[in-house]
Amino acid sequence: MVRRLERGEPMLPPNDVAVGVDEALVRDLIAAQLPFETDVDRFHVQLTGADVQFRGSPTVQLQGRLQVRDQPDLTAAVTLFGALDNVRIDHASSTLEATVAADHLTIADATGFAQYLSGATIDEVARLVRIEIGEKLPTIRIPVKVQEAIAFPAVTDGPVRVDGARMPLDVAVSQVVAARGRLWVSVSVTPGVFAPLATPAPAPVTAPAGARR
Amino acid sequence: MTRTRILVATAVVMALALASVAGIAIYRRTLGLDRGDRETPETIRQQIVALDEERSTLRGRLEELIVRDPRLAGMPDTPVRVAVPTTLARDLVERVIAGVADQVTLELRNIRVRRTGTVHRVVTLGTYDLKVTVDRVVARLKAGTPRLTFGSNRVAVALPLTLASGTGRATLDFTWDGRTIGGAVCGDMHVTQAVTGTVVPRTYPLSGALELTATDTSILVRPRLPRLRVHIDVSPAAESWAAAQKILDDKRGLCGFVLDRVDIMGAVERLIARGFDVRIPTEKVTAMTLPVGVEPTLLVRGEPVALGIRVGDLTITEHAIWLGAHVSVAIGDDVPDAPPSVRK
Repeated sequence: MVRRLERGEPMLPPNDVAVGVDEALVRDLIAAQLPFETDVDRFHVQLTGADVQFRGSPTVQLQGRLQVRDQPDLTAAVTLFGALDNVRIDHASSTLEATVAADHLTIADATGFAQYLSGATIDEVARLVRIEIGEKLPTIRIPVKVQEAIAFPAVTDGPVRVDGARMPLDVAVSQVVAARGRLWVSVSVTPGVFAPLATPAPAPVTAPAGARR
Repeated sequence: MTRTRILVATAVVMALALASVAGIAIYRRTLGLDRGDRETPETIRQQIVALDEERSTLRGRLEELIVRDPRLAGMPDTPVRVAVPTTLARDLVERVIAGVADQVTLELRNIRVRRTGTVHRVVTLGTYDLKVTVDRVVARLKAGTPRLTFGSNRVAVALPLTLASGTGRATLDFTWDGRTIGGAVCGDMHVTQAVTGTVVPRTYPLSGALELTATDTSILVRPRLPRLRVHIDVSPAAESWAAAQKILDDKRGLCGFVLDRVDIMGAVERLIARGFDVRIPTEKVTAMTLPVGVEPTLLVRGEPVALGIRVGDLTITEHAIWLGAHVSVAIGDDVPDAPPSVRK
């Protein structure tokens, strides 16, 4: 990326649609999904805060507390370090969405926790919680709509008739860049062949092509 | 303990000892613990520090270089921004214009011309009633390659529009009511015959503009096209024309004078030669939405939530059409006012 920019080339493919979203908005979108609560083994996890930074990579931090289910007075602060991953177009809603990949989890500020679990066990609990939470974290929806067709309704006006027609668009996320507090998502749009609305052309099937940089 | 038992126990202990030594050796070899070039924890720590520094440097460089990207010029200062490259917009508009124009059919039905009269030759020989009905003329349009010129928030568009193909069918209906005077004149006669033809291709230049506007959620391309009137000419098909002529020729004899006076085929020819004017309702061509915009609702914890959206101005640069929007997430609160608006 840096080499490309140094050569004077654009950040994203020049013929792709570029979507830029500020980290503050993504933080609000993630925060809207909180609190997130789940049980992992004999622990209860509650994530209540989010922080997002788009500086080189789209990092996400989720903060919360971990509690021993049968001993509620045993609690610890947890911080989940991750990143937005697999940015893609959800074909059902035609909107952009992403997954939060959980990379690392720390357990700190333990109240009685250190006595309850040894250091090595805390690390193992952190690993277990990270893996299980990672599979359950909600999908982050980005409020950008990407249509997969351009359609025209039929027009009938006296002697002139315009048949309804639809042009399918093959749309896919081609690249993701996080820089200067913004997430840039590049969306490739490849027009298909116009077809009458009566016999709609099959929607192009595209594999999610999100990327995490 | 017998001597045999002592020997067996010794052998078992020695076998276990050998297996342990072999296991340790395999373990150390597998992990490379005895490799001469094995990195020490300190070396690994230094490598991590170096990689961290390199990452920080690259991030800094990226942040520095990204602002120089010419494609980002004119970018709105809003939390959400969408840039549609002018190259893509051009491609989509060209395809849409051609695609829509190719779906246009002009169809005329039941155009009637009637002529009645009396034929005299010293005395009145009879009266005639000639009806020519254009049953159906169908023509299809085809668009040539549009020429688009981007400027400000308008795109000038010019394209050739061709009446590319079509057919016509007319029915002539001739009734002759002859007066019987000594039986030496043309008696009653009724001729019905269809004639067909093909639409003569003709090309019209169409020029207008496409106006780019931003709604609360998307970029609209609204056509501003002048009214267009096309003229449809139909060229009669030689074989159908000849068939009609033959039927009339067969009726000649005593009726030759009458047929010459009425000139049935001439009347049909004159009607067709006038052609047909049709106005294309260009004002009915609907606006096109560029395929990327802002989504006003989102699913949050399984529930649809309306977002507060305030769209910014549309910015058109050499490289891109920019749509900027302020988006606020107000879960559990009233969504901030975002009056519907159309901005340029």
